[in-house]
Amino acid sequence: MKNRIRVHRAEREITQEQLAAGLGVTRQTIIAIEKGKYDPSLSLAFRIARFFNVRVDELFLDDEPSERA
Amino acid sequence: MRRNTFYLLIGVTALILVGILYLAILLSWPALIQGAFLVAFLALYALKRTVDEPVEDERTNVITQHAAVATLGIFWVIFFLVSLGQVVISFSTPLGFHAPPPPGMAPLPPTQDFLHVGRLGIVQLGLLGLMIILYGGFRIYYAQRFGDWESDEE
Repeated sequence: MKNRIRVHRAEREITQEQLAAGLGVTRQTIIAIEKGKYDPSLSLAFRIARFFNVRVDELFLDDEPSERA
Repeated sequence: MRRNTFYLLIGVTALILVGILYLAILLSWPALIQGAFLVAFLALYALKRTVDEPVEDERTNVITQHAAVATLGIFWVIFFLVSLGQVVISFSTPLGFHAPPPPGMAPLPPTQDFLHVGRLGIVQLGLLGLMIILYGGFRIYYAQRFGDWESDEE
């Protein structure tokens, strides 16, 4: 799953370390999410969205092809 | 305490435990290593709570779950194979009691049964070692899959 965490971090000049500390996760988890290696749980996704004060669907983009297409 | 300091302490504790195991064998004192292992486990558990940075989060829990399930998937087959072999060996000999020795022959020494317990312990320790190796291997595999060693420019 693609996401825009790196973009939002850059806009607010927040390091991965600071984001990880703010969310109570390891920095490796932030790196893995940003690189699309790990999809966070709904709970963590909402926490990240709250951290940046944005909606979850603004942060995470579904890259699966739509079944209705 | 820093996370790396905690990991270093685990290594040092493991080395100390190996030394105590050697001492326990020399002194024929099983309770020494058993007590030391329990104390080390409790001490490390208490120390883990003092680590400032998070050691575990949901991603590491996912890695642990995947590694544990994969380890169990292989380990139960190996455990079953070893146990089947042991059962065959056990049932090939008289169970529970020893036949009286022929006249004029000395009875079995009383320590004989304890030797069997000791051999069982070696087999169990070997299996446990194999389980740790399997778990470690699977952890490395899943950690890599879930981006544990991804580097970043920051």
